[in-house]
Amino acid sequence: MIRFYHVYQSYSRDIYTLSDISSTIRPGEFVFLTGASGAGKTTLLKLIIREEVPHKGNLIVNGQNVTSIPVSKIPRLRRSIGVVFQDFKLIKTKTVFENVTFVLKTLGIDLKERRRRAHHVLKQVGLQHKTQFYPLQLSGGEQQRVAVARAIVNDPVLLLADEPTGNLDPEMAMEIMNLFQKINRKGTTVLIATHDRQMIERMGKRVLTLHQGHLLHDTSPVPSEEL
Amino acid sequence: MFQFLLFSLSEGTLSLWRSRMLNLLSIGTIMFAMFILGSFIFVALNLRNLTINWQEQIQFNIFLKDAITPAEQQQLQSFLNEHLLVETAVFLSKEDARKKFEKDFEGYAEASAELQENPFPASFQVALLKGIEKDAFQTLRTNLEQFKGIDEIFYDEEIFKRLTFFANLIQMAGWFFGSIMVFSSIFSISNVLKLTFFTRREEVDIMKLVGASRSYIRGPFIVEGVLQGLVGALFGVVLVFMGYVFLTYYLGSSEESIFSNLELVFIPFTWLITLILAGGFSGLLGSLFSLNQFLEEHIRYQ
Repeated sequence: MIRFYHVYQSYSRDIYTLSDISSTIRPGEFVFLTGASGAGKTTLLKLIIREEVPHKGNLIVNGQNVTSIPVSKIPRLRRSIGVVFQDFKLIKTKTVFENVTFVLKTLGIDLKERRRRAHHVLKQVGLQHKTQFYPLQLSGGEQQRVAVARAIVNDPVLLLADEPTGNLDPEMAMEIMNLFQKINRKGTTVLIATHDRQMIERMGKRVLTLHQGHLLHDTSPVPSEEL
Repeated sequence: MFQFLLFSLSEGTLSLWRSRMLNLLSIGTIMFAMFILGSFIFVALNLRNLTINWQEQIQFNIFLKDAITPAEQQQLQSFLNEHLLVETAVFLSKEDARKKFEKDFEGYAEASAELQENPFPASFQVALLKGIEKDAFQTLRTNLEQFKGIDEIFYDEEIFKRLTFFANLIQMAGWFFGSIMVFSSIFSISNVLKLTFFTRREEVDIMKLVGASRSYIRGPFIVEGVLQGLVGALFGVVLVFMGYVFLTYYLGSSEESIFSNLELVFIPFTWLITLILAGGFSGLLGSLFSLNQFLEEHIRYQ
């Protein structure tokens, strides 16, 4: 699903945010990306959705080389990927329902179907009673859950999440993780950036550890601890 | 395509409503532009109608010499009464002419009364049948010049020329000022959309991140500009109509006015539609201008 070939990223000369990243994430895998703040986790996710272009190297996502993908194909690439952003990136002037179904609307999906899908995903994140609320009327945790609902509403082939449980209490964090796992079981590849060591250990999945832009470890899953 | 239009329309309308205070500026500008343009067209149209109305029936005065004999006057009267082209020929004596002057120009009434001798000549006020061409009038004029006792045959052709020129001038001024106003509205719409865009910049960034295509981001902005133009032009046309209603009422109630017999006509429906569409087109230009000049780099994917 995702292949990194000697990927480098830098914002200034000689200082690399990511350095020589090479790895493969297979379709249907559930992978954690971890590392201290500034290790390059968010940058890596940005490269996958082509928000940034690598300085060097190649990156293949769902069969497409995103380093050389035509600009006209970027929207389609992004629509095939569900992303939970660290800062949620919800549109403040739109309701929860409008935020969640925005992509479906641009795909020309009718209102009835949008309502059905929105209800389904909002129920999964426990917000089915807040469809008409605006983001600023919600708590940080609720906003995060809306972001999760938006990321999964379009049945993406790949789900990326940047610190998706950062604002949640342990119970809700676990529920969201279970939801990701459920989505993963349906075949969606999941890549979660987090520095929550406890959560990573509890889930027992493959872990990619970044340190100062380098891929430090790639540890295999521990099946016995799977939930 | 239909889905795209529906999306752009719903998002554009929503945005127009959400930033309504800001949009009032551009709607107001285009309203003013179309009001100016519409008013000039309305005035020019009615002046032209007035000229045509007046020209339809040739009217002239035959001023008589003071020394005209009753027999000569009678002969002239008979000629006019029997002439096939003449509809009416009203005799105005010297005294009637004086009274008419005093009535028409009240301010000079005293001066006229002080005059020992009546300087106003007697005349025939002649109106030809409607639709009579100027050539026929010229023939009649030549015939009339044979009569004794006539001082002058006065047909003020110049006034029609001046009126037509004036109507053209007003129409040209309308186009001139209207065009300037339309250009300024395009500029205003473009700038308002730029402001709208910057208030929604974060939203546009999010739209890009979740995979909205470029056209889906541009569409609502274009629709918003077109709607601003259409709404503004519609209000402008409504203002012109209100002016028309007011003038009709005002002129109808003032019998002294030279326009009292004039039936004002409003701008034809097709022109009104053209004006409103022109407003929409200005909005389209404004939005395209702002998108291409300022916003493209933000909307464009890297």
